[in-house]
Amino acid sequence: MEWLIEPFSYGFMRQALAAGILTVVMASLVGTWVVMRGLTFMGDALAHGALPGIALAFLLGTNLIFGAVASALVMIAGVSVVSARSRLGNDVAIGLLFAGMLASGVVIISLRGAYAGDLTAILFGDLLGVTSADIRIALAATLTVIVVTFVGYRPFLALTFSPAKAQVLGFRPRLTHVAMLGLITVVLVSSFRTVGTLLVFAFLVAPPATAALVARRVPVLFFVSIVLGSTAVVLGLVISYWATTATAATIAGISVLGFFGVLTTVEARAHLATRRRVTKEMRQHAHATD
Amino acid sequence: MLDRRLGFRSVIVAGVLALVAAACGTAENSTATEPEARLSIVAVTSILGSIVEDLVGDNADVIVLIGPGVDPHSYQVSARDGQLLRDADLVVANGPLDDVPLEEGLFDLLTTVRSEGIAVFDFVANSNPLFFATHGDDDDDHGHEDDDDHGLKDDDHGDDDGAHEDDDDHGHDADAHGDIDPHFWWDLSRVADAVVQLAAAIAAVDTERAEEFWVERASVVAQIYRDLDDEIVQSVSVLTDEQRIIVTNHDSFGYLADRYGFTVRDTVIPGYTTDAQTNPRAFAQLIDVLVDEEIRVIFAGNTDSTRLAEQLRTQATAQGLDNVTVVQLYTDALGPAGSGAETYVAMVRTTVDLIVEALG
Repeated sequence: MEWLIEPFSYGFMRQALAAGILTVVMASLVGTWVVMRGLTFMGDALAHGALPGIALAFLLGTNLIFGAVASALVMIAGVSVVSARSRLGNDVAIGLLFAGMLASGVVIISLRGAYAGDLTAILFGDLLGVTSADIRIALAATLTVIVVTFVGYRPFLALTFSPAKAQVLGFRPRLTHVAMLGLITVVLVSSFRTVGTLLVFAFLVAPPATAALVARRVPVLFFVSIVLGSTAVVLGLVISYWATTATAATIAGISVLGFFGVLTTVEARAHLATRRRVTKEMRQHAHATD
Repeated sequence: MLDRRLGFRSVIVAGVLALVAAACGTAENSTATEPEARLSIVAVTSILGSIVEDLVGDNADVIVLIGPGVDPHSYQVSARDGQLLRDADLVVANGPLDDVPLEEGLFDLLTTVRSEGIAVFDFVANSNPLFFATHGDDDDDHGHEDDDDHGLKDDDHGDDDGAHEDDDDHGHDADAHGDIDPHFWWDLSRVADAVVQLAAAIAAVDTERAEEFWVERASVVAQIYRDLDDEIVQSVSVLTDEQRIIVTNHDSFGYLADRYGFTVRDTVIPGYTTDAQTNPRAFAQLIDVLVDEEIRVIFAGNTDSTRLAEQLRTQATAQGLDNVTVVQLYTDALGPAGSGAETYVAMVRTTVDLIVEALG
């Protein structure tokens, strides 16, 4: 067990673990809705859409989180306007804003004369540099997400599985949708300094998607997703320690590999089950015709 | 209706013709009988710019591409940079390209500019450079300088006439050791020597002044740097050998260590550039090094993030080492106004003073 204990004997690794797990919890709760409702592209776009706000805040010396939130709001509003005012679909709107926001972010950073280093820091975060202040922010965000998920559970559920019914039941679909986007933003904005926007996005998608391969009911999805994500964090931290790889990227990679692993297993089991059934039927048929 | 359409179209045509005429006109004018403009030298970094300014004084225009406080390792060129380089009489870069990991973002542009015949002076090649040790499987050996300076005595340095790529020489040595350490500006004796070569390069492109003028300027400036060199040796002499241990954010003090007798024990970011990603194990080992060897000062540069340096401090403190501090230095670029590091000479003095104060 030495291989497991040694890495976590260091404070900074334990802090990275804490930040990672908190992010997993938040992202699993929100990510389940994202995956179920097909908001993945929007999630990715928001992850990149936060960039110009962060860059501008950095340039102006103001709070980065405000910048990220403002930027995400612009993104959401922009998508809404484009899809409402044109005949183009939602995905086109998202794509346009994604490209535009990412480009603006890069331009803003380039105004300062630097570029690659800053961008890397925002996209990949700095898991080794997690401070107790970062953990407090993550904790606050996680609690917020838990509360909103609990309170908004039935509207979210209705919106996900039957938007029409949601309207009828008086759950105000548009507001619910905005609340969901708001939750995605909270997760992104509270985690980009620690795990980076790309890893947050990985957490929003991979563990819930993997969970969806083996479960149907939403509370079960939440639980399985959190377990899978946390496992990825622990494994990722340990592997990146011993193999000296970049931490956030290793964790993200493991999450996605996990999905394919489970997919393969599920398919293999289904295949075997079918074969068994067919073989059984053939035997029965053979018997019957004896 | 016919009239209106014709009218509109002719306005457009006339406008385009006017623009073309104007463009042609200015192009012709600029190559015609205009008198020779002042000598224009483009320095890639703020540090190089300051050295060039020390040398040329008022006798040339010096333009700096990568300004104060900006990280040269992650700088990305803009179209304007391309134009500035091409309009220059001489470009002063760190270079030579492939083996010198400093201005990576400018590699392609500088190669192109060289091949177009623009004169480029490579400072590092003319400074008898040191090499980084190759980072093999030795995890403990981060960022130590390879002190047997094989150097690179270029025979044709100075008289730059554009495309002289000593890639074969450098490639050979680089394979033997690892990349060339580009942070030459921390060894004043090397800079003093290189300035003489720089003056020769400027003389080669200066059509107005005689070579003697630049030789004279070079000896004046070289003397200033040599005096500063002595000054540093003096101020550093108060430190004992045990005190001369340096831990920095990234590996920028190889030349300082070599010349003035310090040891760079380890760096937060492994490798030579600020782009490298730290890995947890290396970081953990660094914490242990600090605690075990009671190193209480972590030096941070002025062009990269201090987040990890701060984390190192927090972790070392948590493990029982008291009084650990992060000291901010000016390492890879000049500082802003009021920082005490606005020129090369000021930067060196301020940083050395801070180091001596922190380690003493």
